[in-house]
Amino acid sequence: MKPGAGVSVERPMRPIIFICALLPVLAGWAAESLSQRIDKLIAAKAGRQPLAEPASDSEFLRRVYLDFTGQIPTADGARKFLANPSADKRAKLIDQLFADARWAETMADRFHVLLMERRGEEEEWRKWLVASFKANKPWDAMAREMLAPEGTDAAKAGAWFFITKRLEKYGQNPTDHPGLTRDVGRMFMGVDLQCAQCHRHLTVKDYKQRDFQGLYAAYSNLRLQNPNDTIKVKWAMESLLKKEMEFGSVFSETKKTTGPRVPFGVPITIPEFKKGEEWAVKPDKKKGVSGRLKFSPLREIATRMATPENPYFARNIANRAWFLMMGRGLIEPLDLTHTKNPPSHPELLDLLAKELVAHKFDLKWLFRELARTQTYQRSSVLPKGGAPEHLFAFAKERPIAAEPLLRSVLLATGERDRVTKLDEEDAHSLKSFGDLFQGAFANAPREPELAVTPTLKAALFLRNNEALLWLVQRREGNLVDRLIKLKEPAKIANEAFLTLLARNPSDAERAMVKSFLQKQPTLQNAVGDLVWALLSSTEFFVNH
Amino acid sequence: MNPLCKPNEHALSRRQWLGGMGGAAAAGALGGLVSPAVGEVLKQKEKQVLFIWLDGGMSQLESWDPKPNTQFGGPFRSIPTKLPGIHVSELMPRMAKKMDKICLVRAMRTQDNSHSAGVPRIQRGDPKNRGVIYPYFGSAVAQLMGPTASGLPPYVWVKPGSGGFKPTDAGFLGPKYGALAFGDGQPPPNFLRPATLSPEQDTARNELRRAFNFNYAQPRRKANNEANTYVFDTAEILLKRREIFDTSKYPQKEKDRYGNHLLGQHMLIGRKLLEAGCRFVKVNSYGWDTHGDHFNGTVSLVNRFDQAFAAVLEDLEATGQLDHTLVIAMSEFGRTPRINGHAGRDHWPEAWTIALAGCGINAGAVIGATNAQGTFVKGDEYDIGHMFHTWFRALGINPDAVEFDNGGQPLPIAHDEMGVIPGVLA
Amino acid sequence: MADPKKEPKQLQILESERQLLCTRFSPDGTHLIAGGMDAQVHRWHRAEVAPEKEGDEKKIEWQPLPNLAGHHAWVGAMGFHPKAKHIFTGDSWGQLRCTDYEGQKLKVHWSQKTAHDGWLRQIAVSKKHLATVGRDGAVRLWSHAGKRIAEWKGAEEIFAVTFQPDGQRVVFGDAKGVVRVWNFTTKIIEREFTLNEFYKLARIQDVCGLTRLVFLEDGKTLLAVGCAPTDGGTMQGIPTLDWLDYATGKSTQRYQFGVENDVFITDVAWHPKGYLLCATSGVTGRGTTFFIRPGEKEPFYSSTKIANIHALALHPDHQHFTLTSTSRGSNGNGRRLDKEGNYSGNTSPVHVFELPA
Repeated sequence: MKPGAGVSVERPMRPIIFICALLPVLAGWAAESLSQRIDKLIAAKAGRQPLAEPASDSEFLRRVYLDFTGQIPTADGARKFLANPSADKRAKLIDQLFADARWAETMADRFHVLLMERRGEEEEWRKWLVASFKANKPWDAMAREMLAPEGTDAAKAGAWFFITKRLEKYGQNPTDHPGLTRDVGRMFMGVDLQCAQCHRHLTVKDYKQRDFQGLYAAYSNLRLQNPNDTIKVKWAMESLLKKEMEFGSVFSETKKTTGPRVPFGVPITIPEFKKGEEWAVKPDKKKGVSGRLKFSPLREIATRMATPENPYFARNIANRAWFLMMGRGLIEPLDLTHTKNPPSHPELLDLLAKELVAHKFDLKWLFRELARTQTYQRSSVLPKGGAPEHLFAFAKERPIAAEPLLRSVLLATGERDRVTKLDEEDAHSLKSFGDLFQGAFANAPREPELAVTPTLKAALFLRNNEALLWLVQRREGNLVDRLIKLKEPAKIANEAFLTLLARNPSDAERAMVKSFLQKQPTLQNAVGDLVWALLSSTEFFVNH
Repeated sequence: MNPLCKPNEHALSRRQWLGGMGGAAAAGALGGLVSPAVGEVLKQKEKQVLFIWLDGGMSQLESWDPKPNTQFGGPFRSIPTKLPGIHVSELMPRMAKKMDKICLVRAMRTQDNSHSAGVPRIQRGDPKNRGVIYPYFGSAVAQLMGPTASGLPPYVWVKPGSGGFKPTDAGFLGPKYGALAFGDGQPPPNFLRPATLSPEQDTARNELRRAFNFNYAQPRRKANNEANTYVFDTAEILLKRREIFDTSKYPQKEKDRYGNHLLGQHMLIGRKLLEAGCRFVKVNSYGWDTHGDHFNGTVSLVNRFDQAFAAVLEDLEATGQLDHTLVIAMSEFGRTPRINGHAGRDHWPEAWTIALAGCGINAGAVIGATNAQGTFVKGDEYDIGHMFHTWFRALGINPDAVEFDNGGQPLPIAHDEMGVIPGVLA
Repeated sequence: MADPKKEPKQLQILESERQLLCTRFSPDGTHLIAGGMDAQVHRWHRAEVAPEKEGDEKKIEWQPLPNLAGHHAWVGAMGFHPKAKHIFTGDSWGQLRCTDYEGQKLKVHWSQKTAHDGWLRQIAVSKKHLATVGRDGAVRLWSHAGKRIAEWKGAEEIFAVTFQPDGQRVVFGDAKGVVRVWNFTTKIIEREFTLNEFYKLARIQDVCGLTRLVFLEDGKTLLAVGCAPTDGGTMQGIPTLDWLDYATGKSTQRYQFGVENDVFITDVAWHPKGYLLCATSGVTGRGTTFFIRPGEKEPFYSSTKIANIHALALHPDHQHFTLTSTSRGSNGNGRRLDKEGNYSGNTSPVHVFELPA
């Protein structure tokens, strides 16, 4: 990794050849897309291990719809896609969904859960996320806007939320500056330095105490502020940093100091100012002017962290993008990258990081390349003899978050329009359902949503919740109504499976449906129960 | 496996099989009010835990380790107990008569004197810092021992206030091993089948769901479907035991014996959850943090604990459950010998007492002592890590041989530099 | 309160090695007696001390006398014999004693070891009798010679007791705030009324707020003193004075002072000039002394200088009073050792004040 100006990498990284994207060195590689190169590397590592078949049309369809539009396809959409004979329909669908207005919102949702880990919601933050993805803002720019927010710019103020939510106290605990510091390392560099606060990390040799403390020097210096005339969101005030952060290990007597410092980087010298000359724009509490320091540790960290010169930065986002698409990172856990925890596919991660840098952190480009891989488009049906997860020989089932789950449920049951029209206070309003689904399916605050996790809470909700069961009662124009009108069990089975699972039932399943419908006293209840059984099935609420 | 087999048939055959066992074994204190499920638990003799948590810090000087008529002893007298030479505070007359059933460790000295950090730290066993969040004892037992044959959730928590799912108790073990809390003894939301859904309908639709799941999971990784099936089944099992949560059906005599107050009611629900087969039942009482007016407050607090604790021990003994139930009663620390200006006692982790009974415990033993003033431990001191070792052993788990597996990182289940407290295990 | 001439003037601080509870002046004004948490009865006597400068007035100082031993645990109840120089004291193990309080050779006139089963909380004295109440729920009437005459027993702990001014009835209040009027001759409870604000059930804790019952104005007004509890645990509540019309038991005026951290009015004294001296003890570090006239909305004097006051004693000359407080920094979690590495307890400094003219 070629070190850039201002940052020297102190700890050795795996040396990789910096291939400039404009000068293909190996002729064979230059013609291949990133997707193809990814698949080659996956296959190479898999060796003799059989790979799963490509996902069926249904699996693929449902998967890309959930990943990029935040909900399952409609029955019609499914029917059309399944009937489409063209060979490149999958590639075309990907392009179509990436051009869809919902792409930006869906990515905003997913990054919100990834970055905020269910700490809370905020309108300006969401707006900023959606706008960023709509404009395809490069990831390094997004990161810099979160790490050194510009509150006076209305278009960028929402980004403060990443920091300010973490400065809010919860329970009886004091302001969690160490927690904020830790999350900056985790989310933007893939390193969890929590256990290097009071001493060197006891199990990860790469993480030293000054890696934490250098970051802490910038983030401990923040005080939460309320919105004012110039900054319309909660923001944080940086105090003047005059001296280095002093720290000492609990294991030794010696005291050390450090200026603000990106982990593993070079410490930043704190400049001296004459008294009264520290501010570029002086703060004025009465006028609500937050001021602008000449030397702002936040800005210093942001510019040095979110940059191609910091190898951890690109690798982290590449790894997280891979995780979002494949359900498992190349480095696991996502926030514990170090020399003794190498990626499962080192060359592959190097490639992703390098290419992303070459494409100036264009996330849309990266996600499209990932979507086009065979690896992503594999089935979740295991290859013969099974396979270990880390080879990516089959598609890993991934969780569907509460919000896309709700959207899918409302769409499938045909109740979306009705529910959207109801008054907020109504028990079946969109807001009420939103609260219910979050309550049943979202994790507790600070618990990352990384894997499929069936819970008793969710099971009870699906089994007994009045509002959920309301959705599968017959009502004019909803799914149950439409199914009942079809009368024949075979037709009912086909339509139900297409609507809920984006596929046709097998013969055996058709027979099961027929047998079930015939045994029940009334068709009305029976059809409702059929829909319920499909809704609460593993196949429905897992992204497979 | 026939996916359309009816779960009702299984339940029926279990009951038939138990028919002859039923209530014969359990008379006495419960007066023949034992549910058939008790028979099942007895037959299985599966080890369980009753964990009584007195949140805020019960004063050892006004309960298990009194020092009457000394500088810090407070106003109360001590009373003799069933154990010669052993006294408890006059505020515990019922437990005084039952001292031969319990084991006291009066030499606890722990590290943390705050609640917000101290409570989780104690309940997580305060192990060596390895950069992970350790599970609460209940979550650890849930993972190491799993649910009993009853299929009920393995870690349940009866507490005042809000209920629901408390995943954070589980630490690195993952939310599956969190606590299922019954707030004010009430079951979790969406617990009951709605009136519009008949039991037959419920059964039929669940069979269909299971059948669909089976087909889906066949060619794929089994884990997700298994987890999903497990939680749906648990929901069903809970529903079948819903009578536990209907306290209006409990006989008044029982309620009187345990005490018509929060702790008494919750202890009674806790006992029923144990009988039904929950592996680990935690019963919480709040309000013990008497920094002020301690000597008046402690009268009703200790008295009500004394009543509920004695009642549950009596019942567990009468049914034979005490033999295979580990019983623990404790707080996060004791209270200061020094009496403050608000006539209260503050937090004291330096010298306090934990009470144990049941499975694997040496009943009638008093381990360790504090000095005459009651200020500090005299002789060997024990930390919560020692306690965890002792508890695991009492349950038949060897902390030297058994480890947690945190995604490939092996972790000791109890503090690896501590061991069992001598004299506590039977 | 800006005028220093109108402020009580602090004259002296009396030290003790242990914490003190009830504190009273003897009726002849020569002695100050306090019950301690050390099972002892502490004594000071009024001494004239030679002035520093010739020609100045003699100074009055309260000087310690040897403690009286023989009780157990906490001596929290006391009352003076109306004529003889005797004092009745009660402790938290239930013992009641009558002893001299004056001189060096202090005789124990009589003692009832189990006057109550456990904590004897308060003693009231009339011309002919004394009455005691305790945790055992009993009210007992005794002759001054220590003979038990009558008894009433109920389910709840009894916290406060006083005699009707004519000495014919005993009035007492329990943990739940129920006040009863007991005719000890007929053995009947003639009246009872409940003061709801003095009790709260907080989770499983009975939080009891009643500390004293005091008659005013020759028997027409009964003053209920204590705290309206808001929470248990650390215990919080609002200091409360309730003026009750004794004939009906109805409240004619309620005065609440301060906030939830101020908790208890622990002691009061009636000044013949027509006002009440009150002392509070709240969470550690909080305490107030205030003076209030009945019918007025606010005290005309208050001071927070002295915290955690557990007793207030008015001298029979009505010109001096004492406040029994608690040493500073009396709270703290965990091991706090003094300079020598010892774990020491708190003390109760007694502050002696002179009232303004």
